[in-house]
Amino acid sequence: MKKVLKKNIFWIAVFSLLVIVCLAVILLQRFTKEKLCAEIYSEGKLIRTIDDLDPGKPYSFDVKTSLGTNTVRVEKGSVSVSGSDCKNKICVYHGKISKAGESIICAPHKLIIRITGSSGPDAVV
Amino acid sequence: MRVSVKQITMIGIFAALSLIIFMVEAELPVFEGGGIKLGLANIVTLCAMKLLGRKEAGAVLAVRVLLASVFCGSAISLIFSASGAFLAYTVMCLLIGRLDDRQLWVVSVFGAIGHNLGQTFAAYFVCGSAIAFSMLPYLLISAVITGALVGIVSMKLVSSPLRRFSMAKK
Ligand SMILES: [Zn+2]
Repeated sequence: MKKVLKKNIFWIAVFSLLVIVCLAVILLQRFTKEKLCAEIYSEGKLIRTIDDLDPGKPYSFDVKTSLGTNTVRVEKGSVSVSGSDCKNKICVYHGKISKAGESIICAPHKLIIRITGSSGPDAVV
Repeated sequence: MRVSVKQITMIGIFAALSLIIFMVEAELPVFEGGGIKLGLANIVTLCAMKLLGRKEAGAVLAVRVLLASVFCGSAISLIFSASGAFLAYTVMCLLIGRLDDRQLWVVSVFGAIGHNLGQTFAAYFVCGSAIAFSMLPYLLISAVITGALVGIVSMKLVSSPLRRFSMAKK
């Protein structure tokens, strides 16, 4: 019984360490870049960037590819997919993303929307 | 190796259970399809590994992945779930003999990590971009948490009256 406890504590320590390292990497990713912008990739190729995620007025635009159309909405420092003609609509259900490193993936359309950069220390959780 | 009627029956029952759990989970629009998932179906894989054996668990997993993609997936989602499932299965097969029953949750965590790594590699090849790897720290954290939960549930199940169905050689 004691041996089991010891082993469990060992593994809990190992996994805690892993989580801490991952958190550190995430925080580092956010600190190292200054500005928050978004990149849109289609089939792995960068097709569009959004430089300002916090425009005065929210706006939407369509991303048309040979695989289909996604409507991307930019408002108050966040990006979301407000509409899509893809099969599963997972990209629409995903909702808003607003932090560096977050991404929305539309697998049927092979589309990735990813936020890069950081809006500063206040963005750190 | 001869496959007995009992083995086929058990594999069928476990695969059906696994498929139901997987499809119910897929209906929950909580997390992104290619990314974070609870991996509840892995409870069945783990129990199958403990109660039936590794080969049988592999059969259960293969049936589940194939049928799930027939019922509710596409070719792309098949690539994602197959690579995740394959890596998870390999990792768990290697570990389950080396760790004792009370460490099943550790096997589960490593399985979840393997699953998420497999999906990351699939995302890398399908999307042709290193972007997939920026998701990795998030996926690893979720793997530790969900893997531990799934493992604890599996340990309870394996030591429950279910163990009467055990066919694994001691
Ligand atoms: Zn979509």
